Amino acid sequence: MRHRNSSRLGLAAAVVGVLGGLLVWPAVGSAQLIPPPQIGPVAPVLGATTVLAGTGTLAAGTSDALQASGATAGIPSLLTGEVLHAVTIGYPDQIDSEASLAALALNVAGTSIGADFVMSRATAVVGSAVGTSNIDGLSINGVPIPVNGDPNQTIGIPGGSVVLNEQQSLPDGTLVVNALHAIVSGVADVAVASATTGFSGGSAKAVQASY
Amino acid sequence: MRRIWTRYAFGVAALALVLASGSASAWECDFLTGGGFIIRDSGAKANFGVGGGCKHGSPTWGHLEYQDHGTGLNVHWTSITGYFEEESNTDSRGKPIGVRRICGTARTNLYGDVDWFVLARDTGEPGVDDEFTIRLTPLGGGIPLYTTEGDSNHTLGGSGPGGGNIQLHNPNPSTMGEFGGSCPAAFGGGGA
Repeated sequence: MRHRNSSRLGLAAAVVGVLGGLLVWPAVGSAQLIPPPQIGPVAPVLGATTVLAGTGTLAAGTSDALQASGATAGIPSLLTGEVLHAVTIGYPDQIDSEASLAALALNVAGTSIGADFVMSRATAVVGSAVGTSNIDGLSINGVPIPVNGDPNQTIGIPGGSVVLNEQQSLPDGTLVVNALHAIVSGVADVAVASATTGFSGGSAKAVQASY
Repeated sequence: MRRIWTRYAFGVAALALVLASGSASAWECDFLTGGGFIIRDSGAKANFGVGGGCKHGSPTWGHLEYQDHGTGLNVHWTSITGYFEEESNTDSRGKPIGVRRICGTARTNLYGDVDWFVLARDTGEPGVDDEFTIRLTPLGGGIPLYTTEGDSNHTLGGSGPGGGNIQLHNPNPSTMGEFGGSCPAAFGGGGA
């Protein structure tokens, strides 16, 4: 079974953001675009944090391209995946970030989450940001899960939740898109296919797990 | 008030410059990225993650990860040797679409070290008609060791099998170079 999931942030907010960006972006240098550090989507409140195929952060306004990949990867007793892929490409006025992996097998506190393919993409252009996610063949404990196409579709699991196409806007407007985010309180916090773009810079990670 | 209008005019001018530079550099060396899976004619699934492009003036940026679950083939890139423009266009929204050939070397579990190329097509959003094709040859080129070129369907979705998305990105002003490089898997030991 295959499901697709795609969404965008509010168009009106984007227009306002673009106009605001026109006033601000050209008036400052790229080094000044970086606000104070923001808290990311996966707070490392647990014992260990592991990133698989992470690009690192590309500062806003930087013309560069970062990448990471891996044939297979895993975290013992938690997660396995293959063909891990992460890129972030920066321009003076834009950042494109993208992350994906296939054959996801995630086990969080006894809940098995599988997907044939998971991908997130996020693009920011002078003050506006859009994000999308693709999730194919999602199942939880072997039961196929329909993906409704909305941001932040939440599915309850014992002790926590799974959020699909999670889209979070940081206070400075930076957009974080996690194609799949599984949280079980006090046990694990796993973001799969995470793409970040905006004033805080660009980054992509196939997996970020705190456990 | 004058300062506000000065800054606004500055912003409008910057936007005009961005739009002008974007249209002028449409086919300069760019970036292609993507991930997904295809379904081989055998019915087996093959997963991939790929990137290609120009960085620091050289068409050697990118990567390739590929796994064919029918044959058990595992391909892990070791270098990118070329990035070629095959087709270029824009979609109805002015975004770049087209085909790029990414070439490199890789380590495999079935054939040892190989040369390879990938043909990846971005047809626009939502990506259901994007395509992925791969060929492996011995180092230096020659008869293909493995290829999906003969399969009946290379798409990532839509009416065909498969899933994922391939994305063409605009050139990056400070790191772009020229399309090219070497591609033994496609052209023997030389360039295009």
